[in-house]
Amino acid sequence: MADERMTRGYDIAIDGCQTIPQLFRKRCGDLGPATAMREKAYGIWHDVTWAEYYDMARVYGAALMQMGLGPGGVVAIIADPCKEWPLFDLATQACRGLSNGIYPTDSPDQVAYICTDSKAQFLVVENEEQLDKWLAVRQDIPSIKKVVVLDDKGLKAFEDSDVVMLAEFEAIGRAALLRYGDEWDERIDAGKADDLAFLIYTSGTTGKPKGAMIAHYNALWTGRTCAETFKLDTNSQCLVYLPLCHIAERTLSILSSLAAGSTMNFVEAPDTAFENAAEVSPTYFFGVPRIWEKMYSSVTLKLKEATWLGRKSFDLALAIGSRYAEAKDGGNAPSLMLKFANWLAGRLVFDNIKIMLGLDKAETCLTGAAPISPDLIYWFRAMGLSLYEVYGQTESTAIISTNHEKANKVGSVGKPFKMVGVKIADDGEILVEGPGVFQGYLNQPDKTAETIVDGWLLTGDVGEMSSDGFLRITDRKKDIIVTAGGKNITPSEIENELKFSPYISDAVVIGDRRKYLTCLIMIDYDNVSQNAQDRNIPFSDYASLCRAEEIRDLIKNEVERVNLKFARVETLKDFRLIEQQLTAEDDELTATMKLKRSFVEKKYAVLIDDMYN
Amino acid sequence: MSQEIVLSIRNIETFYGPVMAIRGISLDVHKGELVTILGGNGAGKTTILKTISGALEPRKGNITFQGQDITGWHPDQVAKAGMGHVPEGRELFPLLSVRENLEMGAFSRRDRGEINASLDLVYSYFPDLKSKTKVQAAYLSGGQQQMLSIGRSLMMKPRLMLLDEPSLGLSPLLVSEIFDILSRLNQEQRTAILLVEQNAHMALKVANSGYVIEVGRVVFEGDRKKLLDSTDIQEFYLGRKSESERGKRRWKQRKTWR
Repeated sequence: MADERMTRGYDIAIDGCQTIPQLFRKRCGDLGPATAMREKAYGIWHDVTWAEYYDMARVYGAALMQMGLGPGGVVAIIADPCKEWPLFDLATQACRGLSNGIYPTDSPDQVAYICTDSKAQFLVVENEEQLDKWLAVRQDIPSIKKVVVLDDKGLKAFEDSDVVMLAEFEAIGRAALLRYGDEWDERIDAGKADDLAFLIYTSGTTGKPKGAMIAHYNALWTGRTCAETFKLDTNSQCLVYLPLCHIAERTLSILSSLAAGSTMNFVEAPDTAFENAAEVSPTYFFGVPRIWEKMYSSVTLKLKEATWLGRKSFDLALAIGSRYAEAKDGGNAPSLMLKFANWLAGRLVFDNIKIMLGLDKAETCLTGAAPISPDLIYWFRAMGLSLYEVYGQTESTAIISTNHEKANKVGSVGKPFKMVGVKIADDGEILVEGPGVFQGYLNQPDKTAETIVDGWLLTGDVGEMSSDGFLRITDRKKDIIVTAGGKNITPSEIENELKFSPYISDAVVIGDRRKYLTCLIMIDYDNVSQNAQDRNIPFSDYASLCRAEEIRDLIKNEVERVNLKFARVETLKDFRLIEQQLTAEDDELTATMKLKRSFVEKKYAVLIDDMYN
Repeated sequence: MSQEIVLSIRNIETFYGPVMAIRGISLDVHKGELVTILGGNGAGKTTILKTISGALEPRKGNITFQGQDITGWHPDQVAKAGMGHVPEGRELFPLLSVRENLEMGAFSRRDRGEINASLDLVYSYFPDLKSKTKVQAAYLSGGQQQMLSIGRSLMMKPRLMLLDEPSLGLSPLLVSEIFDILSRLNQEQRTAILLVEQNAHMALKVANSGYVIEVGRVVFEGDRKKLLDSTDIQEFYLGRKSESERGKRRWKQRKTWR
């Protein structure tokens, strides 16, 4: 395997650094007393300087070396975003090991599978809850030598020779520094651009998760490209709130901050992301579509409670803002009058909303990782937020193409990033080459061979390239529905239109090899229950809300509204509501809260069949 | 179970000043049924009862009692219509005797003979009170005070009783005694009961069905079996912990209410 791996001729270096740990050492040395990250603990934000960041990583690295982490060894991390996450990540890479993030929502069996497949030697768990997962499956993962627990709450009395608490781990590291201090630098120096940096297990909507191998040059390129494209510098602030085992959050926080010297702010908990955003006011902000949909819903919901004057002025401001954004995107200079009106709309209406959302200082807002409705982007742009859609996947190390300030076309995923080659295959599949193309799937050479052909990455997405160079994604190749009538239909376009409705949280269109299209819909509980309450529709729990006739009619109206936008064969003939409130722990949802098509089709087969009888 | 609905509330919203305590609740109590409302502190349980009995006025929604729309009625009108409210913390008249307290419960009744019959009924359910008819309420034990509070509301011959945490501050033995009596009242007198309780164990022993309230909204409803089978109820209300490899675990599963 080592022989097949090369940098494929790319020479990616940032300030002379060939690997992530080399860059980490350089940044920490140069930026010393500047703030590298912040973490909120017991209500107070604590700063960690670059110098402290480095010192702590060295302690962690010494401890890992002392415990036997050698080159190529794997350290798995199960934790929500916290400052220890990048510390373990970078310490592992500095020791020439591979870090491997696992979703905190994964089940014990999934944890066992990922640890076994990657032969993880160390497992870092956030707390008692995650430790219990390991305890439940420890016999199945004998490769794990030591488990490190970050938060020992509730574990004071717990004793196990294979488990160390963080304080103890740090003590081991400090003691080991004398012995391993030099080796730390030697190992960092020995790192090569084509060494593997980390593994990313793709959430796997079908089958078992696959471990994508990312080399240092892949990761360096991604970080550098994001920093350049989105103009990040040492003054930039980001909020770290999405799972760090996902390539998007990792790229835009850990990797970009290393490339640009910017600051990461860790949320208290994933649930407090919105409150923490308002405290931090990040200068760049990445969200999956669900986050933007949530923000949109919360603003629309608040507006409903606003006064008549408040609502009217918001509508007026939005109309002005969208004309202004349209003019700018179209390349026309807005008239002086429009400029003034837009300024006024911002000052009187939008500024406060942006402060509430924590986006008042956000120069760049990004959406990606899943398709988003263009209407939603227009809405945020009308408020004066620069929301751009970016496209990529784990296998391309997060990024392929993006919209940005200079080139923005809503509905497209923008133009390819620098150094990325994109071509469309005969069957419409998007092929990608460039320094982001990953090193293949761990232990799965045949899957790798199917994915990288002649140096081109087969993205599995179908799309088209416009004459002016903007890429547009139609759908996942395997998701394309062929109806019994032989018509090709791209479900995600329909699903996105549905999701734009404030009452619909997610939808899955069904119809492959069937006579007509139908769909399963998950309602947005907050908005639908509010609607029911406003209209005096009695309901008690989630299921009874879904069963209320008026609510079915409400969703039916939304479906019919969406149907108007599509050709006859693409219209939905029927729908069913999923009567269970799903959480990220459920198998039906990915960790990023997307409905898994194949799983949903199986699980709700009865509901689906009912629509075809 | 009888299909006739004694109490039905629809989409009520209740405010304390600007604070919305009840955010749209709908629930039903059928004839002769014992329905419980579970929920943590501040979920809005007491507010629901106060809204039903007229002590608070809902800003929205309506309340129907025995086919009559009683939304916005004064508490005394609601009480006359046949609804008894046993408030949280008993709220007795401490300086009045047991008998006087009970007679206060029949304040609006004029039928002397019938009142005496009601008094006998109360004494038959709570023999403890009979031996203390002359004693000031303040001198009763906590359990006796609770019995007196329930007895006082029985003096109205209610068709529906609202009970707000009858187990408050009582020993386990007394709690189970009081719940036995409630259960008997419910079965023998066919009095419908809407019971708010923190003690989910006891409440689910006697209730036919229940609702779980969180921050002013119903999050779960069902008959007794459905409630007892719910893992969320077991973990969050009955304190049953699924054991992990380590034995006791401290962390809690996220609630899903299904």
